[in-house]
Amino acid sequence: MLEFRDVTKRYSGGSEALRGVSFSIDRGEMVFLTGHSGAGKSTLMRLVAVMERPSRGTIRLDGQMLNQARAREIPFIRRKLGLIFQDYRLLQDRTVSENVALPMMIAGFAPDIIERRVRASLDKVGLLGRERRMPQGLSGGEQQRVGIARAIAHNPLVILADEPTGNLDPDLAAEIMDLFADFNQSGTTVLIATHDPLLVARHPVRQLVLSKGHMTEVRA
Amino acid sequence: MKAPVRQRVRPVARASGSTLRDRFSGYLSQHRTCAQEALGRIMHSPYAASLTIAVIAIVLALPASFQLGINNLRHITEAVESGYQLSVFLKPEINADIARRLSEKVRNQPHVVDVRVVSKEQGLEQLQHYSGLGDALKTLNFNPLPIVIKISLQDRLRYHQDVERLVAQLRDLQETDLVQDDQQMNDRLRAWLHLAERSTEALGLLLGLGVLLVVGNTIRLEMYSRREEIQVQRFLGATDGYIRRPFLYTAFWYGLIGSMGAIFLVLILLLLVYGPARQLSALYGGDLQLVFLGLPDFLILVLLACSVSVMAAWTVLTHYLLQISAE
Repeated sequence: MLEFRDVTKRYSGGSEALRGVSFSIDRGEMVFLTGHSGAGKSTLMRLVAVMERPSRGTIRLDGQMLNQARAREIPFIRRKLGLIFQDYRLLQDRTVSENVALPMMIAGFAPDIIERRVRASLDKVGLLGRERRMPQGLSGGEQQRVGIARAIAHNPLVILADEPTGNLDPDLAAEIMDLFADFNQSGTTVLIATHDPLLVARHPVRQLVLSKGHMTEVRA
Repeated sequence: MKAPVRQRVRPVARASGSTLRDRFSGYLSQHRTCAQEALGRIMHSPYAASLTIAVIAIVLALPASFQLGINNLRHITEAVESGYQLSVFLKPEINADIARRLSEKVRNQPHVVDVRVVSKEQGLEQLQHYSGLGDALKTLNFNPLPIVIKISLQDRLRYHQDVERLVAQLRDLQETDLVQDDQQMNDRLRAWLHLAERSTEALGLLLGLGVLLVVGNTIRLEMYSRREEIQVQRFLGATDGYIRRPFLYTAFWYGLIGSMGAIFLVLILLLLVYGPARQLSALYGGDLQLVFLGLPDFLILVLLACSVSVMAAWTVLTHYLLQISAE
């Protein structure tokens, strides 16, 4: 469903973040993307979300060539993704439920459907009852759960999480990872970028390892 | 000939499992939310917003009040104008029969539209009524006024030379005492009004540009303060149209409230000058009726303000969105 073929990303300074990277992820799979910071994990994530374009190679998501996508197609590609960020990226002046509703508002869902799905996804991350709270009033772990609820509410093709536990202590991080594993159990495709080997060890899934822009694969 | 039928390509329903009606209600609710949120944001920071609104109101009130002044002057000129542009004062000894015969002769001249004979009695009555000298005139035991023939002309600016010739002919008649060109004053006044109106339009254009800049700058500042939010929306698949929408509504509200404020200011100005204007008018024995902006003027002002504001916001936003997608 997500396929990289010989993808190279070279920045204008001449540095190469990715060098001839090829891999594919099937529907319903959960995959870790690991490597030291600066190994190119974020670049790879940004390429999938079409925040950047590859210098060479092809990227295919759900049959669509992302490297050839036109500017006005990009928003609709992003609606197929569930993006989760290390720093949560919640809107601080909106309530929890408004934050979760945002991708569905953007995609133009009907209000009653939005309301139903907001509750369902907050339920999944264990935050039901916090709908009216503001993000500042929540702990880091809770904020990341809101971020996750926001990413899954519109039923994305694939969840992309970039260092989702980077700002959390080990216990909370483990809980968040278990959450992803749960989603995966119920059929969601998940790609998680992380540099934390302890978390990876807890979940026996396929690993894509980036090192200086080159990719190697570790089977679980 | 039949125009080729064009079919609009409808975007495929992208929200999974939603019907067209759901999508429509989703779209409507997007707009409603945007409009409400934009208004709420303005209400939420009343101090900053009221500065912008006050500037818009003052900038719009200026040309609007000039225009109102011109409207009133024109109203007065039209009231003064009788429709007859030449008055031929006959010698006192000329009687009504001769006057009538003479008027028939004038009626047959080219470019003459209408001729009216004002008898001595009618003249006195009018003088009593309009001059404010009513009581003084009543003390006279005879009527000193001559018979007057009033002439209405067709498009006199175009037939200027013919009219000159007619005036000369009338002046040469032995029955004539004096030929007075009533139109000349009005023409001059109208030329002045025209000049004032054109200047107001030019000023309006300049001040409209002012509104454009004020709203544009306000929207730009608001956008920078919501940079983070815009970025998040983009990551979540928002189109440029979606990102622009709340700001366009904000600009719309600024335009609407600002133009309402302008109308309010003009009303206050009018109330301030009403007293002195009435005194002035009373001195001339007139009954002054001030005209306020009519519904069409009102609507034009509001529409212009709103569309200029929205245009300003659109320009700023488009520029900004291009800029951040290049980053």
